[in-house]
Amino acid sequence: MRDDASSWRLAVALASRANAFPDPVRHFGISVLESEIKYFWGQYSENDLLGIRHGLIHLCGEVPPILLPTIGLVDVW
Amino acid sequence: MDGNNAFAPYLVSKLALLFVAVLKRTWLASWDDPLPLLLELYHRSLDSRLLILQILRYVVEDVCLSPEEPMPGKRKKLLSQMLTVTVNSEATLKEIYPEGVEWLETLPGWTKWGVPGQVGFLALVAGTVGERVGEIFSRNGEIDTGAVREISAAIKFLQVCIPWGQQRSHHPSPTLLLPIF
Repeated sequence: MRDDASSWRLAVALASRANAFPDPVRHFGISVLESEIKYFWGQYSENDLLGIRHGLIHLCGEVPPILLPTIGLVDVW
Repeated sequence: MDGNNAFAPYLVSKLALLFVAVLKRTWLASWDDPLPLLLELYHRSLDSRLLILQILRYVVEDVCLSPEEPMPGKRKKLLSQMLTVTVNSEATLKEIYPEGVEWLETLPGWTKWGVPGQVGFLALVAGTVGERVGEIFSRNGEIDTGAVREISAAIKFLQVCIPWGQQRSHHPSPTLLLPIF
């Protein structure tokens, strides 16, 4: 994977809930992405860095939207 | 746990670590303002709220509580200041920074004291704890496991804020306003 500059895409694909991989595989995908970020951040192009960020936002957006009771106390950030 | 249905707690933790790794490198650099996303996820679902509480806890631990964390000093100082802005209300920030923080104005929609009218994550999370505890009391002690996970994550976040957070508040905590007891 290290020889491929777009290996982060494969990591996001492994981690994505949409691809229905088992949880250990998704965990592995997130771990690979984390290693890429920690150790090879400086080697990525601006486009790849933006792609990684969007991949992360995509993964976070896959957390199931179960409605919560509203807080009510605070409606302005 | 099957990957199709729910988000396993260890996946939420791993995702939080990944988010923090990106956040530490991009916040106020190539990613000006991740707060709308954090807030949207905080209000979205129980799992996403647990994710945000872990992200906030890990980032506070790394930036403010871990001297050995490898991070350029200037960046650490900047993120530490940004975390202060993130967790406090506009009124509290006006006490902490009477003159304001000039560079905050460069962020779209921000003033020298953060987003106008902001209440900050401390009050938001304290409000969540108050609500969940209030619910448990109103159900005669019937305990929902989701609520317990939420309260536990919220308290862990509040706990890491104690050593470095501002120990004063302009307004009484929202938790104290709730008729819990």
